[in-house]
Amino acid sequence: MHTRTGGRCRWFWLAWPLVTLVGLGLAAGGMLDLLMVDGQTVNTIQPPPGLALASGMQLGQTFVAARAGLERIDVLMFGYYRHNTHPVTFHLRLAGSPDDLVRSTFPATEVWGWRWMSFSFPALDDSAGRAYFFYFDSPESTPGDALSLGGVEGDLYPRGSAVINGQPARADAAFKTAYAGTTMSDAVQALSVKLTQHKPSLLGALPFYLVLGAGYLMLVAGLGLILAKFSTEG
Amino acid sequence: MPASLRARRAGPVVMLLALTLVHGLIYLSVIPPWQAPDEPFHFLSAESAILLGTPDAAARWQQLKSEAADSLVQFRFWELVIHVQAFSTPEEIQRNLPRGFESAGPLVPRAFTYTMLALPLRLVTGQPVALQLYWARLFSVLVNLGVVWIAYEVGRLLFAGDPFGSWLLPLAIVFLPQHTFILAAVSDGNPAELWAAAAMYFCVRGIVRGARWQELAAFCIFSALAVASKPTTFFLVPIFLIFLGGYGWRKLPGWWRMLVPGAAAALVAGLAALSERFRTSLSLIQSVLTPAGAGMNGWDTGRVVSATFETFRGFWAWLGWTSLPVSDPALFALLALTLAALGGLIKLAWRGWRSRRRAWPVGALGQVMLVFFACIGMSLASMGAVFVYSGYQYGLYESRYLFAAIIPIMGALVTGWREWVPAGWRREGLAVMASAFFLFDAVILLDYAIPFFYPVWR
Repeated sequence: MHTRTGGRCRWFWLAWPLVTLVGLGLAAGGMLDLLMVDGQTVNTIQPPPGLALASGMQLGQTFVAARAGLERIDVLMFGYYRHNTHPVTFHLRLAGSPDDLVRSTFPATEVWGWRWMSFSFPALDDSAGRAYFFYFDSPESTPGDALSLGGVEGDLYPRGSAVINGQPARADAAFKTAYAGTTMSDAVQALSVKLTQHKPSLLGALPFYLVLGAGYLMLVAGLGLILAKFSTEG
Repeated sequence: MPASLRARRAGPVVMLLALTLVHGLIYLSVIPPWQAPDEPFHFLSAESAILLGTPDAAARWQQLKSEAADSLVQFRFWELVIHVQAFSTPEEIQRNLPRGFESAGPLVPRAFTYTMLALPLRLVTGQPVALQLYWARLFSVLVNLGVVWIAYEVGRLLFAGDPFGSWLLPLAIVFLPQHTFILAAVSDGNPAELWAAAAMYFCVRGIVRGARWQELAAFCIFSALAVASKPTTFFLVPIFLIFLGGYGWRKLPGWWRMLVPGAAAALVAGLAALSERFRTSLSLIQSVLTPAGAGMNGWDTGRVVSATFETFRGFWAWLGWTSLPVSDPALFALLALTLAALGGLIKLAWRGWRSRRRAWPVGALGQVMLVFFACIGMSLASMGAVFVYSGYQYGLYESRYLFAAIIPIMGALVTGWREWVPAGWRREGLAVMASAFFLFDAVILLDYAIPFFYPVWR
């Protein structure tokens, strides 16, 4: 027979909605973070060993900067769940240019499984609408001791494609591009336009979504109260 | 029962259904048009059910196709579908229209599901095609209300007086992102799922409360409706026949009972002798079980394992045209939860075996679990057989086909989890699990769906 003290129970019913609310806040915060960047974040591949940055292999992606002030690129990297040791270099170039705008080297030990690696640099004020190309190489890496990139086999990012050893591939790396001066308010405003664009009737009006979201949260809260009531009624 | 008490009991159910409705409306409005698997095909099939037989069918079909193709372009269909490139020229677009557009005339609906889907569409004929699509989606959301309500009733039957089981069963379905996504889109599987859920309710009721002819008749009718709607519900047929056999075994006196195994043997022999399709199915099973090289395709263990894993992922969340999967860490957490449920079911079986009790709760619950596992097993086996038969191309990734068995799947999971929650902690356990499902759904909607479907800077 399990017994509970009233105090312990009370603490649970106080903590439960708070923890749920914190979780919801984190999810909403995650969404805002993602809305403030551009790129392609889906990852569906498990890179085969032959697609690792070894034996002179270069892996990268072309993209078009969505705004002015490109200042950071995040790339999903894969370490094959092993200890990798050799340095890996990130290069950023204007598409078609032989010169690096940005070069950054990091030790492969930083990536074991899947990890988003961030590469920050002084903001490129004239980036809006310009085509860029980033890639990684690691001349010292060997098969069995090398990293690779995440992404999708197919086409999800319409403004560029993956590049393998300088050749475009029918794939996209998983990457995010961040821009200086982008505010949360910009992102929410842009979302509200996108969400309602071309949609018919009520679905084309922002208040519809706000009422729906508010109604949903109220119903969840109401259901939570019912569950809590079960506890007091025994 | 006094009216006040009835109203008091109905309140939470109304709240649950209102939540289901609003949650479905959120998915309906957030997921852009055409972004559910085969949604254009299902929509055009339902529209065809209206067009067929009308005097100007050919002209109206061409107009409908043209409007729908424009809508695909307007809502950037190809940019969000992983397996095809984003097209720009009208020629490229015409060459790469999804299934349903290739037909020169209205599609011939392959199941009466489309006749049902056509009923609400008749009310908005002549409206812009996107509005018609959303209207058809609303029909799916209403279908989901029926599924959740049935899940609630099944939960009450199975776990009478225990809020953990009776509430977690419907709530787990409400907050299952992939399920809400499909049940807020136009799909032929949605009505089939509703009929299958109703059939399962009467099956469970017959087991828990004792089968009467009314349960038998309802089980039979809803199974027939489900099977006529979509072949993914075929698993109901053997379950119904076993149910019927069990009913006959209990009702028939003395040696008359032997009619049951006799009828079963006669049925199998008769089907094998008369039905070409049944013989094909048997040979398919035989070929699938044949070692590699000797059968049609043989086994490819690696592909089967990977497809099973991806099917599991797709059951929980893989939005769009399988473009947006849930991440590996979330998948491992879900796998751990599922294994915990399986462990709980083993514990339940062990408890039942040790107590040897035939009475409620272990006896009836155990029987229902056997039925649930038979449904899940047959549903998976039929998908797997198609996958192997098709040369590992189709079938097993179509996780939405499993939703025909959503009540058995969620019923089994909830029963398994319940075994780990001490009796005095069931309400707290319900709160924790409901919150976990709610947050999982919130993460899928906020951190996956919205950023993916609405890339705000492009």
